[in-house]
This record gives sequence, C-alpha cells and structure tokens, in this order.
Amino acid sequence: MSESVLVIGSGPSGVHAAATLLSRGFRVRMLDVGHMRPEPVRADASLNDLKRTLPDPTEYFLGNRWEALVLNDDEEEYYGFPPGKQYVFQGANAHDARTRGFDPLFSHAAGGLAEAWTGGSYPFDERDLGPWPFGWQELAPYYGRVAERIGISGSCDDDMVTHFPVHAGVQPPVPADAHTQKLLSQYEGARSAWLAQGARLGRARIATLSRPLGHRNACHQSGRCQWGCPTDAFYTPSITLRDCMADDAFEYVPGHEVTHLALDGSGRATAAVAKRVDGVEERFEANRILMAAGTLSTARIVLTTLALAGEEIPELTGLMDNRQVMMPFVNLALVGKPFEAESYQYHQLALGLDPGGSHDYVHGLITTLTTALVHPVVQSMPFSMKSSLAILRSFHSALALLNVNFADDRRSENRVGLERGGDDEWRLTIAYTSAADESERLRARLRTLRRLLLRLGCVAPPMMTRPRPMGASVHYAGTFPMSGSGGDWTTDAHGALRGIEGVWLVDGSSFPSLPAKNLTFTLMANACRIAEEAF
Amino acid sequence: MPRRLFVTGASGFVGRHFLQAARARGHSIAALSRSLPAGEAGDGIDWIQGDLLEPDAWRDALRSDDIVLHLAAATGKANAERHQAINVTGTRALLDAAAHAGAAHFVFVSSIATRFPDQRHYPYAHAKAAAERAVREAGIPWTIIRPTIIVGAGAPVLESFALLAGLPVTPIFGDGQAQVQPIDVHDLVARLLAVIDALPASEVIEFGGPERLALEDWIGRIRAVRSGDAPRLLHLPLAPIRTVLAALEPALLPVLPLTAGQLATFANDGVAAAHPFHDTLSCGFTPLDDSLAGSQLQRLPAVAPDAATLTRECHAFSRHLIGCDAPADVVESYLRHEREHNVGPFSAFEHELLERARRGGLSTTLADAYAARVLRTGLVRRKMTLVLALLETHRETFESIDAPPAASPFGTWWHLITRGLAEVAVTAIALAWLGAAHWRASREAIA
Ligand SMILES: Cc1cc2nc3c(=O)[nH]c(=O)nc-3n(C[C@H](O)[C@H](O)[C@H](O)COP(=O)(O)OP(=O)(O)OC[C@H]3O[C@@H](n4cnc5c(N)ncnc54)[C@H](O)[C@@H]3O)c2cc1C
Ligand code: SF4
Repeated sequence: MSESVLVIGSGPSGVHAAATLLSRGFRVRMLDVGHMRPEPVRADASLNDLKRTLPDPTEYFLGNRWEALVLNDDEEEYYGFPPGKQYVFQGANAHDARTRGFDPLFSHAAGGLAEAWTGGSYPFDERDLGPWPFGWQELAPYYGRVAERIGISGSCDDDMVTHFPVHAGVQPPVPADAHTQKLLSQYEGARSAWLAQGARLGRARIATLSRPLGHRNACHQSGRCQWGCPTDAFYTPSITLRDCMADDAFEYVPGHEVTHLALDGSGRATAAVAKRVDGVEERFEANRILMAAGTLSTARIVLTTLALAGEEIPELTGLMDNRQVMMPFVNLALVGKPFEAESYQYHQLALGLDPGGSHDYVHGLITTLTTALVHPVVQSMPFSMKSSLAILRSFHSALALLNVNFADDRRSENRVGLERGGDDEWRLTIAYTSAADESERLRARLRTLRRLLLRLGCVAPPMMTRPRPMGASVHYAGTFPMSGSGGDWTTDAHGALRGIEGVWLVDGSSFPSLPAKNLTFTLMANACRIAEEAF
Repeated sequence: MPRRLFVTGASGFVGRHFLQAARARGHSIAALSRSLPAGEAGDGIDWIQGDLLEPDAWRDALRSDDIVLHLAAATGKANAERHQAINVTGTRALLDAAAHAGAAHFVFVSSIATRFPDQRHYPYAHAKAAAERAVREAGIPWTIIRPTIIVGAGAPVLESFALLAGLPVTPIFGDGQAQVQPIDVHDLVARLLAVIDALPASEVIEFGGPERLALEDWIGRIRAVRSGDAPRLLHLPLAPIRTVLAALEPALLPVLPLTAGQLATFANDGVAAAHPFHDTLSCGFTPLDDSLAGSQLQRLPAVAPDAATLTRECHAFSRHLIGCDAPADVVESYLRHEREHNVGPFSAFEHELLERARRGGLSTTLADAYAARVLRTGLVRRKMTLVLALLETHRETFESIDAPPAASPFGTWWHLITRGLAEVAVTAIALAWLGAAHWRASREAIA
C-alpha cells in the first residue's frame, strides 16, 4: 500500500495526522508555508547563564529590532512573545480579515501556533465529549498514542484525576518550583473547603518530559521555556515534523500557501492550488486531502474554493473560542522571599471548578512567576516607575497568575464568511458575540475562585482581574462541526467534509463543542483517529 | 503650482507643520516670526525676524503676487488690549502692506469662536471677528478659514484638555454636551495648501475633523487613548464660574489657571459648517484617536538630544530605578534605541518634564511621579521603561532587579509601607508643582 495523501499544514493537527498515516504505510506530502524555528542559542546554558555570558544579552532578550520591548503606547493584547518566537507569527497576520468582537492570531510556522504554546495537554472526558459523535472509549487509545509520541507529564493520582482521565503515556510530573509546592501544601490545609465548593487543585498535565523520550532529554530546569526550550524537553509540533521528515515516505513542501482546492465537475477535490513565495501558482494533485491549516485558515481555503467555483459562499456559523480571564494573585506567605530563577516557567498546577451542570466546568491553570521580563508589568502599574519596580520586586516571588478558561458552544451569531476586500483580495470576515449570560456567569465563577484563593492565603485584587478579548486564547473551533445526522457544511464522524468530496478536516474545524480544557491535545488525538480510521 | 508664500506666525504650532508641508510641495516661503527657531538655518526658508506690530521690519519682504497666510495671533491669556493690538491692529498692518505690495490672495486663519453665539468675556473672539471684518474690507482677494479645535501631537489646546482629562477628578463646566469636532493639524495643513492652490473666492470656509462629539465624551476619549481608563467627571455650574473669573481677571490674570473666555468652548457648539469646497478636497482625515495619542514621535520634527545629554539621562534614570549608574553597554544600547527610534520630544511641556527628569535626584523622582499620574504614555515614562528593560537584561544589573529589596519578610513589609508613604507625598508635591508648570506651558495658547 503506497497510496499518497496530501496534508495541508504542519501544526499539531497536521503532523499527528501525517505521523499516523506514515505508520499505516501511506505516502504523505505536506504543503506548508513553514517558517522555521531558528537554532537555539547555547543549548546547555540556563536562563541566568545566558544573561551572564552572552555577548549581548539585551539583543537576545529584547530582540535586535526591539521586538520584545514593550513601551507604554503599545495597545495591543500583550502575549509576551520573545524575539526567538517571532517566526511563529511571521507573515501570517498579513491577510486582511474583517473582524468584529474577535481578535484572531494566525501562524505560518513549521509546527503552527503551538510552536508558541504553553503545553497544557488535557484529555476531554465523557462529559466534555457529550455532543460528539463518539465518546471517551473511542478517543482514549489516541490520547495514549499521542502522549507516547510527544511525552506528557503530570499526576495520575491527585485530586484532578476526577477531571483528567488517565490514558497511556503519562510520565511523572516535572519537579515543582517552591511556590508551586507551597500552593499544594496550602491546598492540603484547605482541601475540604475546596471540595465542598466542587473545586480541586492538582498537578498540571503538560507536554514536558520528566523522563527521556527517544532522542529527547528530560527537562533540566533551565528556566528558558518562555524563550524557547533549547533542548526539546518541551514539546512543539516541529519535533514530530522532524521525525516525519526522517521517513522516506514523507515529503515536506514548505514555502507554499494553499489558496484553494481545485474541483472536478462532480464537486470532488482533485488538487490543492498553492501560491509560492515568489507568487507563482502551483497545483498538487491528490485523491485525498487532509486539511490542517488551523480552523480559520481551513475555513478561508474552503470558502475561497467555493467562491472561485462560482458557488454561493456560505456563512459558517458556530465559531468557538474559550473565554480566558487572567487573575493575578499574591501569595502572602511568600512576599519578600527570593524566587528560583531556574525552574520550569509555564503552568505547573491545574484547577477545576465544577459546581454541577455540563457547561459549568471551569478550567484553571496556575503559573507561578519565576523569571520574566518585568518592564512590561512595571510600566502598567498605577504608580511611579520607581515605586512600581520596588513593589514588583517585593512581590515577585509571591506572584502567580490564574488563567481561567470557560467553555464555549456553537451559537448561530458567531460567523465566519468571505468577502472581497478593498484590494480585491478575498478576505475572511469573523463576527463573534458572547453569550447573553456570559458576564453574569463569569462574575459568579470569579467570585468563587477569589474566595477559594483566599482560603490558600492568596489575594487576587479584583481590579487586576482581566478578561482577555475573544480570540486571545487561540483555541479556535467549530466551523464545520462533526455531526452524525448530516447537514450543510458539516463533517461526518471522521471529519469528511460534506459538500466537497475527498476532503477531511483534521483540525479544530470539526469540533462540535469546546469544553473549558485547552483543546490542542484533543486536536492531535482526533487527527490521529481520523488518519487511522477514515480510510 | 509652486508659489511664493508670505507666512506669519511661522514658528507657532500650525506654522511649523505648515512650513514643512509647504516646502515639500515646492512653494518658496518667506516666514515672519518674532523669534527665530533654533537650528532652522539652511532649511530653505527665508526667515524674517520681526513683530507684526512693527511693519518696518518686514514690509519689504512682501512681493507682488505673493499669497499671504496670516497665522499669527494672540491667544489664551492675553488681556483684551493685547488681543485688540495683535489680532486687529496687527492684521490691519499686514493687510495694508499686502495691498501695497500687490499680494494675490490673503488667507486669514481665524477661529470657529468668531461665530459662537455666546461670547461673553471672550476678547479673543471679539478681536478675531473684528479682524475678519478688516480682511473682507481690505480689497485684496481673500479667504477666511475657521478651524475647529486643532489637535495632533503637541497641540497646545489638546495638551490643556489632556491635562484636564488626566486629573484624578476632571471638572466639566456646564453639562459637557457642547459639540466639538477636532481637526488634526496635518489635516488642517493639507486643507490650507488646497486653499492656496485654489483661486481666491472671497469666502469663509470652516474646517472640522472626522467626528463630532460632545465635549465630555471628547475628554473621555483623550483619557482613554492616553491612559486606557475613563475620567471621573465632576460637573460644575458654568455661568457663576465665568462671572467670577471675569470679575477677577483684571487683577489676577497672570496667575489664573484659565480665563472666562476660554470657557466659551464649554458653552458653544464648535462644529464646522458644510461648504462646497469640502467636496473638492482629496485629502482624508486622520482618525481621531491617532490625533489624540500625543505620542506620534515620527510626526514632529524631532530634535534629537546629543549623546552626552542622552548618556546623562540614562544614568539619571538608572540611579533613580536601581540606585547605581547604568553599565556602559546599557548606555550604548540606549543611544542605539534613540538613533533607531528617534524618540524626540513631542510637546513643549513633555520636553520640559524630560529636562527636569534628567537632572537626577528629587527632580527625577518628581517627574516620574507626575508622569505616572498625568502623562502615563508620555516621553519620560517611555524612556524610564526603556532603561529598565535594558537593565533587567544586562549581566551586571539583572540580579538586583530580580532580588527582593529587603532581606526579611518584615523588612519587605516595612519597605512597602515607607515606599507607599513616600509615593503619596511625592505625588502630592509633583501634582502641585509640576501641575502648575504644565498649566503655564499650555495655557498661553488656549484660545
Ligand atoms: C501563546 C499560545 C499558548 C497556547 N497554549 C496552549 C496550551 O497550553 N494548550 C493548548 O491546548 N493549546 C494552546 N495553544 C493553542 C494551540 O497552539 C493551537 O490550538 C494549535 O496550534 C492549533 O493547531 P492546528 O494544527 O489546528 O493549527 P495551527 O497551529 O494554526 O497550524 C496551522 C498550520 O497550517 C499552515 N498553514 C496555514 N495556512 C496555510 C495555507 N494557506 N497553506 C499552507 N499551509 C498553511 C501553517 O503554516 C501551520 O503549519 C496556545 C496557543 C498560543 C498562541
Ligand atoms: S522545559 Fe523549560 S525548564 Fe525545562 S529544559 Fe526546556 S526550557 Fe528548560
């Protein structure tokens, strides 16, 4: 069997579909724009070593074009991407999109948006999968397969197991930093009060190795995660891409942006049409096309295909994204203590709040503040620079961030369409309106969370709690939902697109619901499932 | 078609922007100014130093077929006599000389205030209206331009309103519902150039910006753009305040924060009437928020400070933030950033505040506290942020930024309490002292 499959995109969805197809003996050709990660600088050095020994640390941390310098007039949502990760977004936001109520991020990187992700990898449980045409039993083997491929660490026996079902391939958690340990011991003291509220705390599940895996070493606490893990202990999809490239049956074709699919008379896709960097158009014939360009880019390609075929352009309904709320808090017991610069930097704790009701599960990630650039924070504080710096230094070791994620569902007012822009190019239109009861729901949950934190001896000042704009959590899904019963612009349970034959959507496009848990682990597992079962 | 222009008020806010744009268009320019701007030699402009009221100094510079653009005016806190002298007598003198020389077109930049229905205690508006009459009667082909509130980085009126908007509590005189339609200085200049290109039609043309809004909403927009939050408004009755100010003015004019006349903006709608000329224009509008930002560095001809000044500034900020001079690499990066980003001063007061900030010691501390309240997105805070970013990524200084400031938890709390008290005290002094300087810098030009 050496039939060839065309995969569009090298993000988490694309690479895991490809790796699975390769293991089944298919040949895979992957089209991608594919900006590459730069080589890591001094892989063996810790973060502070870098500051001490690099000839020009300022250039490394702030960028030679000051990319990571944040001065007060920058009004955009602050993501804190360091210079070394600028390639993730390079060129990808150039497309004009007309948006309302939604601020999307796009990536044209080899590895996709998850080259800049924070590694939270949470399986959806039976309840999360309620509206899906299959359940936990069907998906669990694929979670296991992905976990064994990428390496996921976390606990399988703390309180969070209630929400995080156990699958194969989970390594023990990476060593916790002092603040994380402190929070866990504070939780022990407050546990019964938490449980009474339907709240739990435990170790996060993260795509970070605590044990070596294949050619990758375990995390050695260098404290460089945010600037790009130099040793691949932290998983990004470009690692799987590299593994695929070692297989002769795999052909990676970067430098190509797919604009649309070519259809034959019967409405079957026969080729992907791509624009090369130099503007030349190229066709790639294929019997089977797996779309993994990311929910919004996949929508752009499908809608452009219909527009160029002279068909009516549908408005896709049901776009979803998780509302995120940032809730910084101070752990009073740690004020004035020194902090560990050299420890894992992303979230190490997960919090579940489940007051009952399927939609109500709230998923929280707690990141303790270790090393980070302080100037973006200091300038945003409401005091003089000098006082702000003094206050931040006093509170540094005591600061942490609770990132609260809320579930979303498909609602007809949230739409993705296509129109001709001013320059006569096709552009996406995205409109998003939050559910009518959202603010009330948020307020109630945030109040509960604030009280729960107080039980741990942590204060979350209400004026610093901040909902992020929709689009900022970068968990886009739901434009072509899987449905057992059919319907225009849906997919079947294997992601096969209804309306254009020969096309499977393996990214978030086909999610029929979006639970509060970060979706990428499920993206990867679902892409594996489709690649294994669809044909 | 390039013309020869005779421009008065050439070193004022509109004048500076106009000269730049007019030169780019290829016009040749004679510019009259009471004081010559520094460093303008060799800019291709024929500068004439002189007072409008002393025509002997400049009369001979007018030539036949010139287009005269009359921008010079007394504004703000001048008293009634001074308004009369500069705005009326001065304009008459210029009209006489222009008629004598055979000027082709007299373009007079007046003010929307001349047709405010309520001009109580407003000598500026009276004088400008008298000047308009003189222009109409002088026998030279004329155009009278009435701009609305002029905004853009460093615009004097904008800075005064920004000061109001930045206060912990913003006083609004009256109901705050008077309509304004602010126009960006660049948009105004583009329109002035279009007027100059057109044949004189002896008409009054009013120019306003892209949006009309209630005055209190405008103040809210300034606050939102500059500090990202909303002002707390305090409505004060307008009529009694104007009466009291008017009564005090003869004696107290030099020390009053604002005049009764300046309050006319709160009492009158200041929007531009439609005019067929508007439809012939191809120039668009700067979005209002951009005009209000006040930090469009690239827009003002930036006077880059020299390396020695920048070095001093960098050390002063480093001492202020972490108690020691900046390492040499930090200074070098600081200079590089200035070179590449041309962070130039953008309003007279910001320049002054920066000057104070770089003096070091208490002066730096006060400027920092003042910027934190009133100019959060301004130059001083930006520059301190840059120094902090450089220090926290430098091998010799990052550790002192990472470390807590005191050794024990008790010491830390004590440190925080004293820091908090110091912040309150310093902020109070800074608001009182620098607030006064800020008013002084802006009020001169409030019309
Ligand atoms: C800062 C940040 C933190 C995050 N943290 C987490 C987390 O902790 N946990 C989690 O679950 N998720 C996280 N995410 C979300 C996660 O990154 C995305 O859900 C995931 O990357 C989506 O994967 P994808 O493969 O569907 O699409 P993408 O990652 O968007 O990949 C798209 C791929 O398609 C290619 N492509 C796009 N358009 C075209 C085209 N026209 N032609 C050819 N190729 C094209 C791109 O080059 C890219 O390779 C985070 C995201 C960000 C930005
Ligand atoms: S995961 Fe983070 S802490 Fe661990 S080795 Fe990589 S960069 Fe260092």
